[in-house]
Amino acid sequence: MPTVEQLERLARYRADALEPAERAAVEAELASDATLRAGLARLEALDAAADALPTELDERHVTALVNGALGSRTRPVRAPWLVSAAALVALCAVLAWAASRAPADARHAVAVTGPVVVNGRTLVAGESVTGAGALASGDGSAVLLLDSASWLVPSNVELTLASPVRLERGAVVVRGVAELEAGRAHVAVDGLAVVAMEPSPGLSRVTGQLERVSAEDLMKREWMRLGGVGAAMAALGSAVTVVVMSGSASTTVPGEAPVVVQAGEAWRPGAAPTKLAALAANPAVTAGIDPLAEPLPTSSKAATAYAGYSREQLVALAESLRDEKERLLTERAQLKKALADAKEPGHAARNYYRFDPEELMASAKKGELRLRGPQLGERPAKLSAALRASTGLSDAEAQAVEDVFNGSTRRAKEQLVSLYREIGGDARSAETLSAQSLLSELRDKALPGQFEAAVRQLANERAGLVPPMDPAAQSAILRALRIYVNEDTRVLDELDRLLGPGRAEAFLNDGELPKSDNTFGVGPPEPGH
Amino acid sequence: MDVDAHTLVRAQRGDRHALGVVLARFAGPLHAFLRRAWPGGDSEELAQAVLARLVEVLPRFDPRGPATLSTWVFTVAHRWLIDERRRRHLTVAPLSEGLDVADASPGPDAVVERRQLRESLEAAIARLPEAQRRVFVLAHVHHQPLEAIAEVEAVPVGTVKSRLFRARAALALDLGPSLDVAPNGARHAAR
Repeated sequence: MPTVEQLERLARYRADALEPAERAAVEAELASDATLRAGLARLEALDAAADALPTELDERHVTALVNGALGSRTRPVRAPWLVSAAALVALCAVLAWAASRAPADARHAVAVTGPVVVNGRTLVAGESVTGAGALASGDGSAVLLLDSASWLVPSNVELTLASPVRLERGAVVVRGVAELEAGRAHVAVDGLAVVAMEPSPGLSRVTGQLERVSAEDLMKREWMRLGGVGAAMAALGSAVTVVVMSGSASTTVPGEAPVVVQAGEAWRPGAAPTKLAALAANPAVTAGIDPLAEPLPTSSKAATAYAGYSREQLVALAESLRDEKERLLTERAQLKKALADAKEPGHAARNYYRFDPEELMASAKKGELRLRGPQLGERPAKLSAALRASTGLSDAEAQAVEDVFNGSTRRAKEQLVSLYREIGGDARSAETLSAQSLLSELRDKALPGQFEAAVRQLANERAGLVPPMDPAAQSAILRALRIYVNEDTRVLDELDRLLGPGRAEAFLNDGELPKSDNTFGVGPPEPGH
Repeated sequence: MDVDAHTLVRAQRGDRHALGVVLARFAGPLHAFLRRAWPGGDSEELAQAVLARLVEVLPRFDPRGPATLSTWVFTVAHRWLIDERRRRHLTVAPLSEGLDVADASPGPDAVVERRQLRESLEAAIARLPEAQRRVFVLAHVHHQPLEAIAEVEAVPVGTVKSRLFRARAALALDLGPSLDVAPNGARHAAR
């Protein structure tokens, strides 16, 4: 039976998702390998069986479901990013303008506190400029007059003044009728709304100071704070948030239906608008400035940046960061393998015999576990004639070497099956899964952090940095990886006894021997752990 | 087949009868989707919650938009499923009991074999890793566009395809001989 990796490749071949060269290689293999042809036939049968799966189940329940849905509207599921009642939202919606009346299609930027950079030109307090281009408020803030709308642009905002205006980062307050783009979203405001854009995943967006301008007091400072609501929404990977204070806003994202956000609602792409209890109940929303007791934090990366998050928000953010970390670690391990395999002039060829102590130490520091040897493969080991000739093995020696590899593969599989059953895995499927699939299953079933801890523990043990862990304290995934580590060592010991260390090393490094090299890299532990 | 435009408009305006027609059209497929995508969960409760959600958000569907009503409904359900799983932090339990399959065709042994294979396949789908299972059920069983799936999963379309290929490989390996056809046309006995 082909391995899961071979089947995946065949599935791609069947879906015509391979490059021409790889497709040709698969076809050549299919022509000579009956096992692969059987695997392809199974995929074809699977597709037919899946196509025949019913898309509806037992109609007798449909009426009950429909009546239940219409009769008792369930409470909407709280979006994970609703914050606690302690979060406050206050808005400054008082605007002033000092420029003379402008042509209908021109844009005015009126610097309130300055300096504000517009098209590379720095504006100071009281200055204005017409025309389109890039606006960066920096430490200052500005008022933007655009036809039938006024825009309050606090600090740390970047806009592209075009048609429509594009919010690159930061948060703006829009009053009137206006359109803007942020990320992939197109927002049309008819009322009073806050639009926030944070393009960096994992960071929070907290507005900076903005200035209240009136005829009597141009320099009075007020603080505008989106607080936990705005900051939390912007931080959770969606990048764009719209909070409507009065009137409404229409949001459109490519591939999704337009969404109308009403007053007292907040929206981010991929989710329905949600009412904000604190916002809806706050009479200061349309009344003007609601000064706060304390100023804003100056760093969006400060530890207090998550202070307003609910538990659900923190969990969702942690999960997204963990997934990204896994992806990056996997990519890093693959890159390292590719680098190690790349032949460079002047560098020693990769050694597939025993690791040097320096190699093990370096791996441990990097949180890296390297396993190698043909015993990791799924196919029965069979030494080719070219390999026998290249390494000078007699027929008896070649048979003995094959027995070593096949014995290792069989032992590893048996132990993995036993472990899989022990932790409650499906006994029926355990026998049919490949060793690699069993390892993947055990990894999937591991608790958060266990896989990383297992890799580091074993890497440190191999480097002699820590003693072997108490068996009773070992997680299932650690025990699974230890199976491979033990087999790695055992195969080397048996080859040493069979061929002698010199010949064993030469054999394992011979170019005719197919290499199998798995590297699990999880990075060094966090400081303090 | 989708709902006719007139019924849809009335449903979006809150007409109860029209809402019932729309919900009845999708209740079965959504129930099937949730039961496969969330094995071990209470599919009745889940389906009812998703239908209630549909009632709330149906006014936001734009018939002139790029998505068909069917795709839009599945996108709502898909997104709700991901959010709800995060909220509940539930683990997956293998599907152990048989499914109430709508099969109105009595017949000879070949039909029995197909039913056994189908049950084995349902159980194997339940054993898939969660992300692969969701994508496989949506794309392969309910024929949802990969772009819509990718949008909700927040991954590139290429990643969705990779998950599909891995899911199919895992299923083929899991089902093993159940998928083989003997020279006389009969399949091996399902596990």
